[in-house]
Amino acid sequence: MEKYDAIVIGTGITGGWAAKELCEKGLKTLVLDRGRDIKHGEYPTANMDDWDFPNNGQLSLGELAAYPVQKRAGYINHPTLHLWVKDKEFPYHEERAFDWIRGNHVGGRSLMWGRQVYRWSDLDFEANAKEGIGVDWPIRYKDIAPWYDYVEKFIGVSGQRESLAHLPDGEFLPPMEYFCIEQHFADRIRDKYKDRMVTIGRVANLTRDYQGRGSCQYRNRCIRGCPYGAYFSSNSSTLPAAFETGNMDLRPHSVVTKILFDDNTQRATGVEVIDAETNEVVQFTARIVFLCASTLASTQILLQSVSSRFPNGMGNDSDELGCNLMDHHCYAGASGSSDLFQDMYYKGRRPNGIYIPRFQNINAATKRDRYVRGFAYQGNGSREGWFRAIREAEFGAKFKEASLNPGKWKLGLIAFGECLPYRDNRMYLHQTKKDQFGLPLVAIDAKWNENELAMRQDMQTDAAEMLQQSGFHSIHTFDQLSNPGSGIHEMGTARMGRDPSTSVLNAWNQIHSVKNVFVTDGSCMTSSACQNPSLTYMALTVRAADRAVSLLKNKEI
Amino acid sequence: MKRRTYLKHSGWVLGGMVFSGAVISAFKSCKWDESTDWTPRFFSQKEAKLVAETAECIIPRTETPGAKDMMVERRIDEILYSNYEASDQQIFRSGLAYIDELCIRKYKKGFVDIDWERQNEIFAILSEEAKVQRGKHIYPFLKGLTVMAYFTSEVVCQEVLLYDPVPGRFDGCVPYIEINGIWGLQ
Repeated sequence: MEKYDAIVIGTGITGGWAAKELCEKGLKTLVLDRGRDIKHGEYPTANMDDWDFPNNGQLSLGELAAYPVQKRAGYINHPTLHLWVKDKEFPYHEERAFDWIRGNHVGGRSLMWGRQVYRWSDLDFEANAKEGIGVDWPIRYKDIAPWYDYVEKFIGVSGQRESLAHLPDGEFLPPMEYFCIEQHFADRIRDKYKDRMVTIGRVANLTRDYQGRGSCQYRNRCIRGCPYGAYFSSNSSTLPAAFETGNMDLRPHSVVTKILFDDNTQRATGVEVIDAETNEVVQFTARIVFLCASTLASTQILLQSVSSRFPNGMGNDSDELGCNLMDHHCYAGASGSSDLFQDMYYKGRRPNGIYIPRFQNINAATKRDRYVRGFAYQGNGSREGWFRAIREAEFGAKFKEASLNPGKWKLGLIAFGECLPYRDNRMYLHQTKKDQFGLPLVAIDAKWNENELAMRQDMQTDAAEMLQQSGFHSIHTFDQLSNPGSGIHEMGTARMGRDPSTSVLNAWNQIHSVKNVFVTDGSCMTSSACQNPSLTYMALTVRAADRAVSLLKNKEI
Repeated sequence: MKRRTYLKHSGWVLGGMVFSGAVISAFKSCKWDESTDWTPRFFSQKEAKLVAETAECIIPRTETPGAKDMMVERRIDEILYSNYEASDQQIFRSGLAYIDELCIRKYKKGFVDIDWERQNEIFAILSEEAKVQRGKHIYPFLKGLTVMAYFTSEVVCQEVLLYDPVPGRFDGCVPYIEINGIWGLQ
């Protein structure tokens, strides 16, 4: 059995960070991923135009049939086909419909993520305690703030400082520009509303060369992998840093079946792995384990890690493991058109939008009666091109020439709403169904509840009202509630808490009852807020890694 | 994650068909079989010729290439074959037959055999009919596919529209006269 100081399970946005931090602190670290390796730069479609692909990039209905889940998100096409799991090879059980959108490869979803990064504040960390919902977060903003700084300084975040208490500023690179219609909208909102504001999206794309990575080229093809390294991914950033130390052994094709546990020491001793290429079962030992396989996969591994001490899954004394699954509910909002700025246009394809921070239930003045928590908007200005020609009744030469000029400016807003933690929203291991390795399938049983549904009307009317107040016309609202999971922000199932009888992890992301196992991906989340969660996952990971190394040094674990 | 554009959420209803985000993105750019001995996969040769002629009415050759120059019938054939359910394919096919019926009733000849002026008269009728029979008529379906096939073709993207694969910078507010055209890539 090979011995390491640390094992990191997973190489996505948190696994990459755990690998970097532990390796840089001198630990010999084994980094496992169940998928194939993708080295930075190995992005075969990054420089292709759509006409370079079969069927112009589009998958046929027949090809899509192999991706019944992944196709629900609408991102899958020839340019990105190699980055999504083939659903038939990686089945799970949907007790209720749940979209599990994912990619099994080194780097995971850090390659395809949306790159929007927002800090949480005590409005979020204190909410559960104040409202008596779920359990209290064992940390507050002051505990995580320096780690937000640390992460932002490395990944590179472009954004605008706004001095907003409930959406704290970070370490920002220069912000990206607004479209003129967005600037107009931002100005109007500032004039008309005391409680609302617009800011440019805070995005992990570089607006200048930074940390050895190149500045954004404004191609808006991030999802294919960026040859310039202009957005943050494990592949472009954390894994190369870990590799640089000489302390990392990266082992792709490694399906972790369980974390090994020693009854005498009450500590994890390592992991058991099935080699996905050879089907060989191998074990590795280590002094600490970082579980960063993604929300559902990490909890799956814990549930599989049974022993006489933990018959229901490692660390599951509380019986909360698998429960309190959350996501963000979205796809409600409004759009409108404007007659302004007809003489203005743009250059470049900005991989970012605008953001309207949450403005509901912030204080007594912004209290909403029908629900707790709230939502934020992500939006985009745009100027119509030829596409509008589809809807027009005309045809012929005049119609063609008109279509070669830009149309009106438009602005659309889509809300992202908080989802409360519900014990009944859960994942578990299916009793009979097994995967290709003989491991039980993940089963998911989750639904939106009253509080989520109650905010969807406001998500539409508030957006429409702001557009109307800003002089837009032809305003349309929409509400396309989709399955849980469709926000691709699944989180919870191994929550942090103060009390071992009601939570799985402590304030340092350690399993309460197995102190040398740290779970730092989305599964650790105690509530969901409405901000995109990846930045918080990363900050919790580096905070836990720092703690783990000092505990090791003091021989406390 | 980066959100699907608002386009995706609003849907684009054309002749009863909703163009999904996936279909839209397929049309962002097009390249298709440009060999001379092309065999359609969905259309009959006769239907393909009819589609080419009708598409030219929608987007005729001017100072810039027309729909026939871009052989949009080949792309329309491919997308109907690969990305539409049988029921939608049938709606398209019946619609083509309807166009020919209309011509025969009026001019005793099929669409491909009447002159340009008469073809345009037929299109004026179709476009008026479509305003009344929203959601069922061939006109918006045919027009939608034609517009997308044309404007996403490689040549149109690069030579009729403005093509800038690596912009290098983003300027959100530039006088239009400095650009003077519309962007091909989205």
